[in-house]
Amino acid sequence: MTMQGITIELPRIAGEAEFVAVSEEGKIIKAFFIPTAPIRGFENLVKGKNPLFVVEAVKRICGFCHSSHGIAAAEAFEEALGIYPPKDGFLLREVIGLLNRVQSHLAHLALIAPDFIPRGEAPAFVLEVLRTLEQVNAALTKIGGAPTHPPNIVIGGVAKPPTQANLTATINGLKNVLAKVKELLQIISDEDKWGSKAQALKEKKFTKAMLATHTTYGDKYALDLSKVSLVRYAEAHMNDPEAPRHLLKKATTLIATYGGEYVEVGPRARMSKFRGFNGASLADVQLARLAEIPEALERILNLLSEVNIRAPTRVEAVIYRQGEGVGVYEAPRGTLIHRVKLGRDGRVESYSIIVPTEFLIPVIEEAAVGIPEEAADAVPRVFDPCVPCTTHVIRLEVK
Amino acid sequence: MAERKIKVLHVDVGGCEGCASLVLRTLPLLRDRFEIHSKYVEDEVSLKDRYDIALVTGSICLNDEEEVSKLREIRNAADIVVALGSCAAVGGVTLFARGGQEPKPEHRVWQPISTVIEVDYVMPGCPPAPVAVKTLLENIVSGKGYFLNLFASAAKMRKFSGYDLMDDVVLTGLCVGCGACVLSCPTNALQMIDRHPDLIPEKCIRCGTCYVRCPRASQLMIKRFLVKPKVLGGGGRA
Repeated sequence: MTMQGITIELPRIAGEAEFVAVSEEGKIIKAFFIPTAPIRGFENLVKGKNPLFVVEAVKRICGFCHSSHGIAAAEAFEEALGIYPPKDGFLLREVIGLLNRVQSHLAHLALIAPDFIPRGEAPAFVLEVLRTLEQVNAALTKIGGAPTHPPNIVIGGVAKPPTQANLTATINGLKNVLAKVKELLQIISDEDKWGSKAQALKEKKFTKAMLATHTTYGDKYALDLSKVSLVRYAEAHMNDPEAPRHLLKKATTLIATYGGEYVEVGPRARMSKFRGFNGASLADVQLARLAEIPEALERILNLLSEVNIRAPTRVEAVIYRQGEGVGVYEAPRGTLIHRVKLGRDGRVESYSIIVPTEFLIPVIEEAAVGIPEEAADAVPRVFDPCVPCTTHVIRLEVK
Repeated sequence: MAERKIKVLHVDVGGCEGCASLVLRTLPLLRDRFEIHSKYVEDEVSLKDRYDIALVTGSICLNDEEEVSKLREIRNAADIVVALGSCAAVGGVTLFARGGQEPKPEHRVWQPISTVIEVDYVMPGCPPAPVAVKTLLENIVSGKGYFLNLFASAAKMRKFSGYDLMDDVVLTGLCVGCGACVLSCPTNALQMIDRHPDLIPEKCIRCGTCYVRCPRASQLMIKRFLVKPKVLGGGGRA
């Protein structure tokens, strides 16, 4: 028996990884998704630091779900310090988080569109998506302070309320975005026009146990933290004879389990748990994500209608002291967990972060089984464009 | 004959992907004159091809040999290299990284890309604004514009942050109190007190945006590190 490797490009996914698939008669029988992006090590980076720095730093873990990290961190510190943001602080924080969700889903739509939309129509569609995304960025700038890594997310709430002019402009702008999004969704939901990769995703039925804590924010009480555990990627595959040994050494990720099981997190998990969504194919992962966009926009418009620009948005006097806290937030790609332990001087003693991608990696690997080789690259893409991954699918044919 | 579009390569070598999403956001502004080659927008990007300009995002982990050699390949593939965003430009928040984290504790030192390769322009910002990227690229093509001197000398300086702004401009009494630094800071780490900027040190992530935005600091930088900016020779080559 010999193995023959062929390299196929895997574009339109952020970051770096190797996607190694073993195939038989043109279909994937085993897949390994191995992130190899270098580790910046934020958990160690923030040790000894002031909480103010940590909230700004962790927003920079990810350029697509910056606000999610900011909110999860702020929540963790608030629990550790025993403070609770005022009502408008919560309203605006949820708005910022949801704008980030819409941003992330639209950016992903631009990346995945060529798999779904006919080749000739894809560039114009992508351009429209990017223009719509720019309007969402403008809204996040007005409410969050910046389109990326919004500085208004702070410990104790939101740094400041928007001005009346900005609030009105945001509401009007988002109404336009909602109308435009509905048009775009109609185009991409036309299943008859889907490309071959999208069709392959549609034909593949795949569901797992699902984990989600909330529809629009995050709920630490809907999760049993003692059930979450992490293992090195290489350790998880140590006893697998087909695992590519040379790549295991390069793996730069951990895998997360819940109650000892691999679980799906993200849009489909949220929609299934809270909205009765029952799509069982891989294409349904994308359809659930798309369904979240108008829902998030409607929720944002409701929240903004409740905002009082004269009400306090943050706890003014925060005293830093010893304590422990957890922040759980439903990031665009799933359940995100931040835990912090503050020392006696109020600085970070230890910090741990569990990101949705750590849950999704084994799910992606399992989902790829049975998919035709030509569509293999669409499987990671449909789950998570932010998985740090690079450009190779190495096909190993068993002869 | 129609003007040839300028070939621009985009590669991320290790960051948060926020600057990569900036490149996506900039696409609608650039598509008339530039052709962007990035794995975010097309199916195949080769470092073996020739490019006019390379936009590199993310800082470089010196302990990751593959990334370091990829960076060298990018330098060889492009006439002009731009370090885009604070991490690529000055290291940004990744300068604070100290390694020791599972599963690769050896990933310890992160630096601006100019530590490894020669860089022609660095544009800090966390992330920079799309219109700034467009202006710099247009300046590089046309061979004129303020951005050329500014970002070419910033490439030689390599280290600048809110701390340096305080040392070089505010504490020396050169500050004119214009407030540009406060407006540019992405973390609200600068505040105005009695018309003088004051740094909240624990909020500074060393992105360097305030330094290039400050009219005094930027002039100091250009005077100290003046170089002949490398340009594409006045427009698209047929």
